[in-house]
Amino acid sequence: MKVHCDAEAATPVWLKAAREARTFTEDIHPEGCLHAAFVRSPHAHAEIVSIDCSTRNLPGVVTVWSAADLPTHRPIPCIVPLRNGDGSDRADPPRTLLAINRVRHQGEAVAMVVARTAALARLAAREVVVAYRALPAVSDAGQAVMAQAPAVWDGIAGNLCFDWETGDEAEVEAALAAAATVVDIRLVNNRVVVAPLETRSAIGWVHPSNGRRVLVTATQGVHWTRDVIAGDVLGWDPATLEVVTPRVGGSFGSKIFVYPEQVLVLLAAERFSTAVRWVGSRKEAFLSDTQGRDQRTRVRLALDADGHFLALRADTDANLGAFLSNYAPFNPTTCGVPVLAGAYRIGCLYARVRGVFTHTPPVDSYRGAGRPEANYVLERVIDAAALKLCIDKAELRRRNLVRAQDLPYTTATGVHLGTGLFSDNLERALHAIDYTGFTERRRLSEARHRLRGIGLANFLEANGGMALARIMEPGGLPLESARIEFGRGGRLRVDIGTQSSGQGHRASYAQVLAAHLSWDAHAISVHQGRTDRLAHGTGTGGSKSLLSGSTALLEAADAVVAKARAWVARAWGVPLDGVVWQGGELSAGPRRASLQSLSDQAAESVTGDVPHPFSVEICTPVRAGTYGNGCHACEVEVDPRTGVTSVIRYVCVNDFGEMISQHNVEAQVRGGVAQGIGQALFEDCRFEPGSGLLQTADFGSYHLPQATQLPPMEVLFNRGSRGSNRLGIKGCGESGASAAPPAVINALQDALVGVIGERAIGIQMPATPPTVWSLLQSQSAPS
Amino acid sequence: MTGLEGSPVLLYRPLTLADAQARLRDVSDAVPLAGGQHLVPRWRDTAMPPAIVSLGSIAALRRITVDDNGLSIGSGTSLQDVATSALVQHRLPALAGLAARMGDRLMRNRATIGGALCTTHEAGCLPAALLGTGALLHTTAREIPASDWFCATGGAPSLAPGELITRITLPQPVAASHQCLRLTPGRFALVTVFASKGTRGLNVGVSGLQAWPFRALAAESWLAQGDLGAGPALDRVFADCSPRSDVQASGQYRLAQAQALLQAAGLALSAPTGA
Amino acid sequence: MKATALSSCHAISSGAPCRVNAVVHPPSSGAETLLEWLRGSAGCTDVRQACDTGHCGACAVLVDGRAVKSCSVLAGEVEGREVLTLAGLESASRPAARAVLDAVATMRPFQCGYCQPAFVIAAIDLLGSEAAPSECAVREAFTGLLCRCTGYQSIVGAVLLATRTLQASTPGGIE
Repeated sequence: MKVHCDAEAATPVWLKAAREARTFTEDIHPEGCLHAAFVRSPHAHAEIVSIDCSTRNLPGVVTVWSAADLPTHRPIPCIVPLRNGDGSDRADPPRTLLAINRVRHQGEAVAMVVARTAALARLAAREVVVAYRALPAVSDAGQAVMAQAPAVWDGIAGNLCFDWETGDEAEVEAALAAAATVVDIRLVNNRVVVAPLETRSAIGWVHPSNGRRVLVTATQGVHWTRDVIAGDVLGWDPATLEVVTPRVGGSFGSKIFVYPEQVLVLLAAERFSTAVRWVGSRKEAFLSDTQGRDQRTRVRLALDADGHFLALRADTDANLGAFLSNYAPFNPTTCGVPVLAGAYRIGCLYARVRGVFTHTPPVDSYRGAGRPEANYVLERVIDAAALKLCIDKAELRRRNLVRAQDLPYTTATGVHLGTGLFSDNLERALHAIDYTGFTERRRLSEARHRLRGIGLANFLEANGGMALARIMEPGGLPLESARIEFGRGGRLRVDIGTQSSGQGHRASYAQVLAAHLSWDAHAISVHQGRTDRLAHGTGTGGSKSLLSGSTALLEAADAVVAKARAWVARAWGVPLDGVVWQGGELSAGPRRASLQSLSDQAAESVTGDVPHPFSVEICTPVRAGTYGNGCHACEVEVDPRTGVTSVIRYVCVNDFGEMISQHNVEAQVRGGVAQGIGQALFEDCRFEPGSGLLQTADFGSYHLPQATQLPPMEVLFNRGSRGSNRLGIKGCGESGASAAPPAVINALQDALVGVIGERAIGIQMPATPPTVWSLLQSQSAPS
Repeated sequence: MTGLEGSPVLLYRPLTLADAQARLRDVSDAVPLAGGQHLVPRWRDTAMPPAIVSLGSIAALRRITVDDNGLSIGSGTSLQDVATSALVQHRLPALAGLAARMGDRLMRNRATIGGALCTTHEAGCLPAALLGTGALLHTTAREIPASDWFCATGGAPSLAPGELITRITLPQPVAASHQCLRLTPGRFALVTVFASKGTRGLNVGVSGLQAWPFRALAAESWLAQGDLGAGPALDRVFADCSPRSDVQASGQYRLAQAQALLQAAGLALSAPTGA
Repeated sequence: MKATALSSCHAISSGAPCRVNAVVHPPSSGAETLLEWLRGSAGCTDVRQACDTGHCGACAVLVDGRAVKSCSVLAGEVEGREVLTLAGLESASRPAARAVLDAVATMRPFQCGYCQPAFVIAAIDLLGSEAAPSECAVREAFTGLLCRCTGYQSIVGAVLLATRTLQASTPGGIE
């Protein structure tokens, strides 16, 4: 696919600013642009009786569109195929741009208003009269599968999107039946509102002279967004659509996905031959962004008399929301289940996942994308087993973790572990938190009328994009692209296909390239978010950006060196295999020159628009993933009178192999842990039973953790194990969200055990004070 | 902006109370605005009123004084100023401490004690404090006891058009205690108990337990009898209440917390140094 | 009762200009919030909006030296006052601002950066009233300010570094 630069056509100032990625989308104001606002359903489930678009006649309002007004298009696709246990394919209901006949979650867009100012658009949207016939709604997955539940989609019985399984059920059932002990518990992984601080926005525009379409919007990878919107939805040649992602204010998965608003502003821009701009409000974010988690699992763990893990069975209902977002079936199945065995030796494993539709906003990848959900199940059932068997929870883990002598080891889910410091992580974490000193600390807390508990959770990450690539195409590998362009005065420009939303990729990439080419890192600028600068890109997600980005970047650097060698051979008139690259220099016999000085000479040897002889652009597969791993330990204190739970100590030991920027890695760990603690203790996303309305639709009622609620965290690294890639790195960004919820809840369970015994296993997330308090009251209630 | 683009909203910033009242009387549909922490985001979300009379420039509404009736706090005093006032810290430290923890520091720089009583009167610590001290609200027309202000029907307090709260007087107690349970930093406390003892006896204000803040007479009797332990007597204190149940917490939980906070208040009141 | 926007302003208010980052601006002619006016007419994109209910603190600015949420203040209320946003602080010479900005540049505590202006403003507001806050006091001062990326520890650390710098450099106290 050809990428061309519009050297001839003038680029407006605002588009240049967007491309430079120094500001957020909402800071970009195309001159004379129109503004879009959306009419959204106040009902979770209703028939649309009529839409009165006469508001379009108000002065300053350009149009009001409902679904009937849209040009032919296809629905936003769910790109993940999935086979049910019986061999049939999953359901595939259409994800429309604007609601057709029926609304299926509160906040679903019903109409779009385009007006001369944003305020007018908002006001006019309020004036659009939509007549609804409200219908019963269901928001809980467990209820949605029952016979009498209202159907989200006609023709999809039991609201079941899929019923998937993996593993040998008979083998696992036999193991459960024969085992000395079976621990059988039910767990809730509560729905999370992702809530990056920057809301979603989009600007659509069509170049007046060449018809080139432009979409400026936050993404986690511009190329995929372009291909889905142009190729899948609108039937446009993707080469005619430029997607630009400027600075992004957090995403955590939610901005990966293609949303109706992005497509609609493009259609409006085409129709009205002017830029159309939409900035989402926080309320819209609560009601229409993809949300995270929301799984209910029954897990059974079989153990022998010595506490060895013989078998694990997990049956999960995954709430998908009303619509299938792009990746939705992937998270609870082939993304998450591989880490359901963690780095433990488990004899066999069977998992069954039902994907369930409900009248709620769509659920899709949120920091960890199914792996935190799996890890929560695993680490909680282990602590339940420790309690029931009266085996210390560290010892139970020690007994079952993959040890050095077991490597290489293939887990019960088929994960091939070649390296990993699992047991060592555990010992270091126990030491860091002073596990043996806990009893005394507990006694001191008791003297202050506080319940104190200590909890552990290991994590195993599986990063690289391998699982997603394989599910899209058997034997498929993830790709990534990088382009290195040589400029004047020793400046290098890198364009790369990943997309940062705060991770600090660019500094790391500059560092990697600088080291490889012996170049000054400050003379390297790194750019993302440009389909006009890079033909292909795979984007960010699944903690793989440094892996895939560095793979592409290093191959590009190798290609630079190859080009430089060829250029030198010609320029110096020497045979190619006599040209040596070392330490930033090229030499042939006694003659040598730095790559930098050679690049200056090479620049002079070409004129006009001819690219620099050393510039390259490559697209390369990533052949191996990484398995970051570690152990988190946490202490909590509970005030039994109020149920308030405070995390008072938090340590983690992490094996991320080599690290390009320890600063950036630590930042990711802390951020992930913060989100994990938020989910475990504070973030309570509630839908009203019956109506399906979101009862926690603003930051006053949905509580992101604040500074006084999060502990200082000690982040330690266990080095000595390398990832299997050139840099030896391992993905890390999502790990905190995997490990923190079970670490915190295990600690809480430990704190409550002294008062309510095994009933403490029943503690569920979010463990808000009233929830903890209620559980403590059950001590005096008959069981 | 109200209506279509181009029609302005009139913002008046009078320097005197008399000017403010004149504007409210003479300009149609004019509404008063104090700190704006509650109203401004709400107006932006729905519609701006056509005319707004800001009370923020009226210095006379920001005075804190002491007289025979007790502490007098101007309705336009910011919560930050209530919290840091030497007079309040000396005379009613429980109120200063309460104000220092209401909301967050950004909000406290703007929110006023009068504004809080008009807009966010159903919950939070301040209503409990006014009920728990037997405070009096002074308006441009009359005096309203706190217990009349927080009436059982909830809803917007009834001031006549153009009537403004000018100050709040709080009788000087011998001792006072503020006890609350705040589950989320910066948001309203879930349940608050404010108790004081003075020359006129005991006052207990409770907010967050029911749909509206109230003066808990049964709690005052319970405190008076002196035994602060748990038991049937404590259970009976709030027996006639209808505890509020919502997404935050059940009525049962709120009730248990109110009881515990009352006990804590009682303990604090009976401590030698008071609160 | 309608009048043109500009004349109604003159009739009612002092008409005193407002200084934003030391630049004089004519007062707002409409009924907008300070946040809308700053991001709009005054061109300050370093004032952010992350919610619409006044709960996130992202819109924090300094008005006459006090930190406020600009979403909850009417633009007309800052006539005759001095408004400072992050950009204005960067060119200011106030010791507390300098210390905080230097600490941020050194420690790079932010990730996506969306909340950065708010936390910097709040930190400067804190150091304006408390010379040597404890870690606990710094976390308390961040009540009502949301960050989704960092977990706050890195930001708190930067403020504590700023505090130490200030203590070391100004024997008599700060500001």
